[in-house]
Amino acid sequence: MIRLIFAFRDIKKNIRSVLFFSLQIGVLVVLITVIASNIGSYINYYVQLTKLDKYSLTMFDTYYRDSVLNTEFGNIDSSESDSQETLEEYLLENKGFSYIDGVKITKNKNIDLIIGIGAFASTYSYGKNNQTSMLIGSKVSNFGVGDTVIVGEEKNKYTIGGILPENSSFFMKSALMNLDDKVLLLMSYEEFNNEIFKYMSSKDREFYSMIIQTNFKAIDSNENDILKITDEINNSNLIKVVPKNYNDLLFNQNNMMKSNITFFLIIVLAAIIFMGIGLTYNLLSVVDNNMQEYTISLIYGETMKGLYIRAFIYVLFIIGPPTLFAFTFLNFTGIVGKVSLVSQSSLILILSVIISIIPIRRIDINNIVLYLRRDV
Amino acid sequence: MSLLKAENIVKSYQDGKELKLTVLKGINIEIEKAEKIAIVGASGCGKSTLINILGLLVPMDKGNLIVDNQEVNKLKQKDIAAMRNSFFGYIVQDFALIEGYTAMENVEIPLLYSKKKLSLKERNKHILSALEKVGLKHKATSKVKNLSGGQRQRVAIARAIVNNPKILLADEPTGALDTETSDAVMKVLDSLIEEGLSLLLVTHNKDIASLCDKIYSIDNGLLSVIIR
Repeated sequence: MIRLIFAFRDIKKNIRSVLFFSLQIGVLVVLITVIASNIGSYINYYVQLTKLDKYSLTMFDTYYRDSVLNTEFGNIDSSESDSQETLEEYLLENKGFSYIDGVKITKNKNIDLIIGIGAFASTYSYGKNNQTSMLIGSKVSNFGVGDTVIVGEEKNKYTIGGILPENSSFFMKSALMNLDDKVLLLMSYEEFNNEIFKYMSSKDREFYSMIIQTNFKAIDSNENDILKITDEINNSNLIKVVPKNYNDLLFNQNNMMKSNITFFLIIVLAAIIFMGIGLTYNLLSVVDNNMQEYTISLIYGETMKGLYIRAFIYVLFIIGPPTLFAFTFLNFTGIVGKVSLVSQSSLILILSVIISIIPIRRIDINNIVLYLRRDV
Repeated sequence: MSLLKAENIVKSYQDGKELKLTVLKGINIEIEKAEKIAIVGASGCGKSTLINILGLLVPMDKGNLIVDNQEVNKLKQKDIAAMRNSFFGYIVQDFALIEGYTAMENVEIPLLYSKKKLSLKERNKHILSALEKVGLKHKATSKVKNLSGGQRQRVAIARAIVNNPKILLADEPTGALDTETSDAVMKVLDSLIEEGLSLLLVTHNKDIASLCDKIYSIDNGLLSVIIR
């Protein structure tokens, strides 16, 4: 207790230096966390990307024709929707997959639902293919396994069959979509048609058809198949598509992320090194200001171990608040997700132990008495 | 029976990477109750090192030190720390006071480390009594940075005696004071000795040393008696 009191007094005495030091620590924690978060995202992206190596995926860049752009949903001439049929064949035969994302179509709860259609489940290794299954992300709290969710019509009730592993994700365009706070409904195209699609209004059907077309990916199709799909779709009046190798697109994105992170890492590392040097000097000066107090305490009954504890508490109180503040800031700005208090506390303790080495090495039994000779 | 007995104390310091400087080469000294001992010597001869070793602040390399009938070599660190707290009072040339604290807060420090675990009321009683002995009760709540040199040293003395130690260790206690103030401080120390306290004084001032019962000199790492 006495060490805690004296550590507080040490902080009070050096309040300006302590605040400046805390600010530097806060900025450093933000920088390190941002770079660590980016590296983590890059590694995760790469790991997920390599899982798709076993497939040859083709995507179709979609361009809407003027006739569609100038028409409201619900008024598009159904005879112009022939392109849908070409993709339907692929989806029905599980030679491709698509998805509808971020559409709040559940009536009872306001939550994002992703509907994976066709070979989505097998491509991303979720649940079982060709069988309707509903899964929830690991951070979804307002649903549990066994709960029923209504999608669209009242009669379309789906029971949640399981929880996705933490950090589950799938590629959406060139980004990795996290599923931790989502509900995932996996269905064959036939099931989707019979249970959801046919009950939609014509306006919704047109809207979701376009989403399905836009998100469509063909799996392991040969060049002739791709050309056939492209020709058939482009012959319709609705959309125009350009086929692209989806694996290449993702690899290019991955390489771009690597280049960006490398550049960012160099800049941040340089900043960290400069700040680290500044922090060390600042800490030594702050510690030097305490050395006479440490010596006086030693004379009047403190042990060396007690002084080390006092220096550690001192550093802990300098490191703790800015680190907690940095994580709150990072969470608030959405740079990183919520970090548990246990993880934050562990980081603060580890940082404090490492940084405490500097003042503790300064407190040497053979030299500490020299501080008695200095005017305070 | 002596309060403190040091036998064959040896202490070296590393001077640079290779050179080892032996400042104390076998010191023997005893301190009896209510005895006033002065140690004189040139600057850098090891006077402060000796007083720091005797005051259990700095470990010795070799030798035997018996304090309050206990062999220091056999004591644990926390027992040595407790002995520094209760058995010794320490005064230094530069006062070693905490500027931002009041006189009372400075004098309180030994009591906060005391094993007696005194209440705030009891602590205040001891603090005011100590400040009264040095004639500074009226400055109890003054910040030490607002006190004169002589007053600061008297606060340091009050801090040294607040725990009723047996031996007062004074390292150049008047070194930073003018003659008149030095005399006043020495008078305070004298009055404390009359109450049964022992004094081990390190000084290069022969006039101050002459006020003691015994005077030792350190030369070339060895202690010799000048006056017994």
